Amino acid sequence: MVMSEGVAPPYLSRELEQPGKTRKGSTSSQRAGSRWGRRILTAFACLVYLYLFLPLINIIVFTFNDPAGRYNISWDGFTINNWLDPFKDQELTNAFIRSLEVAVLSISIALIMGSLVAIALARYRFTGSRGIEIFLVLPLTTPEIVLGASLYQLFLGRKVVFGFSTVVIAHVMFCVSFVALTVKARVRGFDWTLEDAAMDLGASPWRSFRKITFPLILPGIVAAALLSFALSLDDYIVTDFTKGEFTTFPIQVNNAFRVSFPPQVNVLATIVLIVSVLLLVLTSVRSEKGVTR
Amino acid sequence: MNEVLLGEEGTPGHGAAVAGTADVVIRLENVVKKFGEYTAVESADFDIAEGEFFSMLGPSGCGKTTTLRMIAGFEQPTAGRILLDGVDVSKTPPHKRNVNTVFQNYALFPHMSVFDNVAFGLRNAKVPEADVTKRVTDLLEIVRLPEYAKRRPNQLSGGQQQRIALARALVNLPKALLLDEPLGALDLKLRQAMQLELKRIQREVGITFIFVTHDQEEALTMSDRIAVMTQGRTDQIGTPTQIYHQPTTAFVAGFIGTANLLPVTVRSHEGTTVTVDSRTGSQFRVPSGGRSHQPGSEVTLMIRPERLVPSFAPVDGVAGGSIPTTVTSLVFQGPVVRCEVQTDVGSALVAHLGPEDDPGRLSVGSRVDMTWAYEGAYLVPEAIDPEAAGITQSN
Repeated sequence: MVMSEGVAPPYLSRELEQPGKTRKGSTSSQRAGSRWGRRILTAFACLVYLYLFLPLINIIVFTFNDPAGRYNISWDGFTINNWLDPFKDQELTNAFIRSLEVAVLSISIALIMGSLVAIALARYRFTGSRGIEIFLVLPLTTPEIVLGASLYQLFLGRKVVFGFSTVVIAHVMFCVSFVALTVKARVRGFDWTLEDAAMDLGASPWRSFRKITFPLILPGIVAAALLSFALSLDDYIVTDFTKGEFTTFPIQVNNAFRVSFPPQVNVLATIVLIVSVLLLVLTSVRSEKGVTR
Repeated sequence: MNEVLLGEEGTPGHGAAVAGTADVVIRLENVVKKFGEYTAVESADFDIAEGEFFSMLGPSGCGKTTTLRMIAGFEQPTAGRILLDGVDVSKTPPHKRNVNTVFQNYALFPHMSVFDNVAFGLRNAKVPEADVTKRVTDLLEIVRLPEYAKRRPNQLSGGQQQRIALARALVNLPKALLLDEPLGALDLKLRQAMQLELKRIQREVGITFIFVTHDQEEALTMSDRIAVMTQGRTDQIGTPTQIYHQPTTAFVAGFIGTANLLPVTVRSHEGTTVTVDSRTGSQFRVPSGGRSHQPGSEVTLMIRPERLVPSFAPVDGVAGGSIPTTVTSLVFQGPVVRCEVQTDVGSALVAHLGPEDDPGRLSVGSRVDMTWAYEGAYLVPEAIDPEAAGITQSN
């Protein structure tokens, strides 16, 4: 802008003109080109989506496979028997149930701890609050292998019996960070005068939390729960270090693959997939309602 | 309203009590609030009577909101006591005090319907649901929004939210309703309508209103009594008339409306008349305002713009004084012409001239003597920095 006011040296003004010329020259062909460009872009986007979803599609399709041998790898014929009897493989089913137990327990603990951390961080400024915020991010950025190995060492050194409880402790550890960060994002926008108003109207601190603060930050807590559920259910590395003789669903799947490849793996995986997609849709619909109301 | 409150007797600033005839609802006894080193409230010491519309008025940072929050229970006084109905509540948490607040941003609960918002306090008090329905409906009637019970707060306009916040607080029949600049977020037209509306509702329910504002016009319009605050101090407590006509400090004189303030020295005090010397060497005779003035003391002469007239115009009553000036600006404002003049020592003065003052005879640059009636001047018993002399107004 400044340069085009005549004071700019000639080499600069020439440089400035050049892109203008090419732009002018290309405008007629640009429309035709852009139509093709858009088609290519669409095709490319489809390929990317295919790339992302092909494994998922594969899993779902192979739930309907009727494998000839023990390996559900090549297409041998259509059946719905796998869906009629998803819990046919006893060990797999048991592992699946144990995974759910671990997830439910560790998320319950992580939700309470993480939400309290989030509220404290959002509401109060205290010495060390910055430090806590940094420490919260650490479990998310640390490689899982490091977390797992250090937990293994820690438990081994304390002669703790490996099993359900050590797995839960490990899962709580990484879920707390996710919960705290997710809930904090929601709590940050919270208007604390609402709590003042509630107490002013005669509600005890506990009642104003229950009636006002909690319902308003609930969407954040639900989002955190879903996220940690997904994390806990499919965690392999940290679980492997802390499990001892205990097995969870991902561990069992990996173990089973060495000897067989039952289609029930696909069925259970698909069930998890459907449930999580449903929950996701449900919460996004709910939160959209929350925005418009 | 009680005659005592509206009486002509000037209340002498600190410790102004509502004389024994009215029931005291809230009493502040030498209340101090410090945040670390910073003193937010230096000493709040006054009574508020039952059914009174009491305003705390002052610029931002004067301690009015902190005082209100101490009455509500959100802050605890560093020293002093707050009595509600004769009971010391200084350490009582907000949910155990029978006062309710209308917040500046309304603080309506966004996840509840209007009905549930208004019912919140009653349900906390475990009022039977049938009574809740009746009282909430009545209150929505009083604030004239009965058809909005099922709406969510964010489906309402600012003015409507304001009324719901009012209903939500009043439904609990508090000993006092605390209002923290509740009209600040509304536009001018709506604000003026709400001022009258608030006054109507207050008369209808008969509850004590304690109103915090920085808008002097708002305070004058609505209040029975006003406490003018600045820098944590209460400068004066009085009726709007007292505060406007008999300010006890130069700050009050300048903050309430527009005032011309001139530094003067007391020469003598005889009967009800004080003779003062101005900086230009002229002498003025001013009513004493019920105070005694020591000869030689520095005080401030206050003349409101509507009392200042050009010498060619007739003066109501006995002339009080006259100052030679030069006209610096003339602005037509409808009912009055705003005429700014400069004295020979450089102080700017302003006069509001009506048609009877014949402002057409003036033009910018012309010399004119500005005069005032004897009753039109008032002595503020406080010295003023000569630099700050001249026109003072709040906004």
